[in-house]
Amino acid sequence: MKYRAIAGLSKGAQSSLVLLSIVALSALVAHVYLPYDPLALNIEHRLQGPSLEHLFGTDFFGRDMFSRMLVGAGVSLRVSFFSVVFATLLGTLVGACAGYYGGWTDRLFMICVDAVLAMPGILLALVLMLIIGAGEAGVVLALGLAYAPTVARTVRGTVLSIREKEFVEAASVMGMSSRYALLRHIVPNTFGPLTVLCSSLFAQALLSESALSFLGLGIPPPYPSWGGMLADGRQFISQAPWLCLIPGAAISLTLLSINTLGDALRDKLDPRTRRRMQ
Amino acid sequence: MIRYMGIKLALLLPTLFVVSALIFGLIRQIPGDPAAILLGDNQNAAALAAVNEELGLNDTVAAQYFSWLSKLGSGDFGQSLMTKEAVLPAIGKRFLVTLQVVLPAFLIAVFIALPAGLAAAYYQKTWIDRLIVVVATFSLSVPSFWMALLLIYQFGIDWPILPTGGFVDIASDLREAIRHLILPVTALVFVEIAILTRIMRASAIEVMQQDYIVHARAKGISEMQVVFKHVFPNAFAPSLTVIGLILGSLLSGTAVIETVFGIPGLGRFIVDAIYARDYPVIQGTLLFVVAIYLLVNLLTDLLYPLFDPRVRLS
Amino acid sequence: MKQALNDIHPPVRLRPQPAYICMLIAVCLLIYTDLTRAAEGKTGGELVIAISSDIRSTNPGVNRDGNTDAVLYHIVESLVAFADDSSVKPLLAERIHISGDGRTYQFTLRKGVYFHNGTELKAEHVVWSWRRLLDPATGFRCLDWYDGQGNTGLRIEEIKATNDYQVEFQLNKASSLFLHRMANLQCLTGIVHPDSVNADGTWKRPVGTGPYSLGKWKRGEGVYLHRFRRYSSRSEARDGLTGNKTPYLDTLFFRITPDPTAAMAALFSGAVDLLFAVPPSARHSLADRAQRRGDIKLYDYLTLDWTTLLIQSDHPLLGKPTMRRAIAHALAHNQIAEFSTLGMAPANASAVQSISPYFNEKHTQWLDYNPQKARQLSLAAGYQGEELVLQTNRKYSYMFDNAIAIQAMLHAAGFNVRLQVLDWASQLSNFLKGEFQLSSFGYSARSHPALLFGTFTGDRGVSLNYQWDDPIARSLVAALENASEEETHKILDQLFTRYREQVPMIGLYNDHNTDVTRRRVKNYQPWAFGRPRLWGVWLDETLAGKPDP
Repeated sequence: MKYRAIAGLSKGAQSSLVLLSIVALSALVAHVYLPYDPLALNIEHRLQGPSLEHLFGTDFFGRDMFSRMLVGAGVSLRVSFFSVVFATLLGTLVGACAGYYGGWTDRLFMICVDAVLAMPGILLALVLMLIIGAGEAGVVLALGLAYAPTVARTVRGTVLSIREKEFVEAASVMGMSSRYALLRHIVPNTFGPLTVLCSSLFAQALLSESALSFLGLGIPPPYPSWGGMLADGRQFISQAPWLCLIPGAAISLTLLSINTLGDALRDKLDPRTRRRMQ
Repeated sequence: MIRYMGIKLALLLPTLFVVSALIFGLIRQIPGDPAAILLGDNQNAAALAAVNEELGLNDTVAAQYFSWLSKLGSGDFGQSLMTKEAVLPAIGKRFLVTLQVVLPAFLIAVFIALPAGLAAAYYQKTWIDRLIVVVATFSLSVPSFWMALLLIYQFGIDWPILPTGGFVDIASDLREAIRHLILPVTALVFVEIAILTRIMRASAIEVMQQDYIVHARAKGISEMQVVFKHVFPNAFAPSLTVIGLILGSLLSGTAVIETVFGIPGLGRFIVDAIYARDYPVIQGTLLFVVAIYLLVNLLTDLLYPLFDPRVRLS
Repeated sequence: MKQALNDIHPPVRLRPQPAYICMLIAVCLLIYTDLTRAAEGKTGGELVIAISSDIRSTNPGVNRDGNTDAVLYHIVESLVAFADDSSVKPLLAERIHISGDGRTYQFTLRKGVYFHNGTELKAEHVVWSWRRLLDPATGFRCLDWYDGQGNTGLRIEEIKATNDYQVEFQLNKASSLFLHRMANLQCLTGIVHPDSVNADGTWKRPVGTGPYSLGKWKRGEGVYLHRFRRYSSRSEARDGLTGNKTPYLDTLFFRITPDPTAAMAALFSGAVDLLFAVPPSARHSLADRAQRRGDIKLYDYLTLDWTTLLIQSDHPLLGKPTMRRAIAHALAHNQIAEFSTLGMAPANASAVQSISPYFNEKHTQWLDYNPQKARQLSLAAGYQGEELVLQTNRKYSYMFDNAIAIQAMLHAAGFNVRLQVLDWASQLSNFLKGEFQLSSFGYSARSHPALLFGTFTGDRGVSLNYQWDDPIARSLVAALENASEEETHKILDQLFTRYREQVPMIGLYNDHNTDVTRRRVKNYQPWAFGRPRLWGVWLDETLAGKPDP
């Protein structure tokens, strides 16, 4: 069954899956084996080009870029993943409450959601980072808070459309509490649209983490994130272009995979597309 | 129609109010002291206290908020703590700069993406469609700041034929202005093209499966007419909302691109102000940006029925 | 500690010592090349200088930062100014006469000096400018240096014009550092014409006597300066901010270029002619380009900036001298300097700058690198592997690079250190409030070691930005306020010895800077304050460099 699900995907989606698995795997491998200590400074070997000894060359501090990319994969994926998880939890809570209770609760929640949505996401995240402090937790909280409203809107929309449907009414007729009805029916029904949204949020989070590093705040060193490595590498662009090229390419390829998979996911889960397929 | 617009505009007010309170509350939570930054190297307790007094930062946050709000009512956005520049005219100036970068990028994106999306939908499941989808997904996946770096490396360092930074006003020297805009606009435009193409394709595909298109075809109308008279207008309407969202967020300035290319636009204005804790500038500019965003989206809401006859304003 | 009746002309007397002789030779060479080249100067052209951020205002010493100072000292001039060796020499003054009790300073002005509006400089303008600075309503940032409120207690009691070309300053007490403060770059005491202010006393625009006058200021884009045709230069060779200051360039454009990569690309494409104070990490690429294409030229120099590691003295553990010594022993000074500056700057633990005339062999005797000893001392101090947080920022790349190296070395010596990257504003405010454990920090150029010691030595009850609250050190620093040359040397040596025992903080090195120009920029000279001087500089269009391959 699982195998058939994968086989049913397009070639693009299959190769994306492979690529993402490689990224995830390298993040895991980094815990077990690394060719060099990613934090060890080595003045004699600074800014060396890619070679057999250092596959991706070395950075300004003489640290091995390959090892740093491996560790960075974990950092970047972890941060993006937890940002999305946090955004989803918070957004679902707000959206479900607003959609279910309606009335003033809904109006009040939605004004706040609209207010946050209207603010430029990256600047909001920047301000939040400054308050919370740079670090993995900071990025997760900042991006999570910035994305939660999008989730809230989607969940609220779905809840509103389902609320009127018979099975929820039937549930309350059968004497089930409203909270139970909410959990039992509404939350599972938002699963489809949320999965699609999450895949795009995950891509956005990966992108925003790099943008934050670019603006001077991201994952603090010495632990590397891809975005941070890209931002740090840019001042050496004319002399050591690989310092920018490699992390940038890694980010782009990962984004490409996520976007392709997201499209495949939408085709599978979005009822409108499904109808079209038939 | 006018009444409808009035109601819609009035509905923006509570959102703007929440935004203003949110911004004001949030930025005061950022550690760091404008007076300390202003004084830089030469500071002592007395000088700090004096500057805080001068900047009006010794009042309670609530008092500062209401004083700011009441002045806003009369159109007074205050003045920058750092440069003493009046905030509102400064926003105007920066906004004009941002417009000169964002509008070309936006128009180019629209003019490329709409036909591309339509073509992909029309030739669905042929190589044309696949090519367009692959290119669009690819452009969506290249971060604009990375693109900017690659462009600077290619056209500023490796083969230096274009200016890699700075800004020339269109009014002062058109040719130079265009030369300065090429790289930043290119860096921006890819992602926008990608998003719009994908939306346009999806809605065009949906429209083409509708009964009325099948009917139109059955009536023997030429394919050209089917595409441009029926498919395009109906598919454009759903894209309009996305176009509005994109324009709205672009107009808030593109902080990263503006920083990389040294363009004195709104985005960089806010980022610089955030780092300098220049409260009046952050508050005023963010509020302005949010208002623009909301207005652009309102405008697309209002335009929607013009393009989609199925929707009527109520 | 009184100085004998003397004319400061020349002001510094130096003892022969290797550093001094080297500097003397360098200065002589500089003067020689300056004189021979001066004849070649070509008038005209526009020179574009990249600055990282917009200037704060055009009001010198009131609303300012480093870039603002650099623009404004081309427009306004003070009575005295720093020379290349960071001593103080006359600028608008012809001569300076100090009374026997050291309390009266008499400045005789040069004749034939004009303001940008065509008025001749007279004593009344000096009096007017200084009274404006000393008026609290002006908001002069260093008012407390002159009004008796500061920690030196120095007060200017009276300023009066004794004739058209002579001004007298009356102080409440003698001070050997008075002229050093007057020459200070951050608190420019520029003499301006009353046309500089509006009728209500608010600032309009600077009408000074400098070699360039203020042109258009396009906020967010940059500021234009224009050649002042009636500038009357001193006859001595170019020297710091004084000497020959003939302007050759028609226009200077200080263009805002926030992103370092874009600034570098702009230099390569010729859109910008000058980048200044480029960090060592970026120097690499520039040197590479200069060698390959020859279209740019690098100028390396040591600055008076001093980079340090601050250690919280209120912390129960870090406050112990044993623990502080342990940290000092864990850091290989030479390696950090080598690391952050690519070997361009020597390590210097002492607040006496390595290019200062007061620097000597004694100031190189810092605690040796000994991780073993560091571990023992930290155990003795009661350190059990608690996490220590080291604050730094990305705005100043040297602080960031230092922090990376410090963290790696402390880690190797068994200290558990976590880096905390803040934005500069947060780190600065933590510094002021004393809210840090370890902080990778730096002190900007101070012309005299006494001023640098005074910046970090003092009563923490008054201000937490003092890092060294030691009664003996404080009295030594106070004694520097009015000491003869010989006494100054002795006191500075004593201060360093005490500093080494107590380790109030750990000095790392005096920063190395690189300025870069396009090849066509001729006769440019960097100097120890790390900001460009664009008088005596001209453009030679025949020197475009090799064509692109």
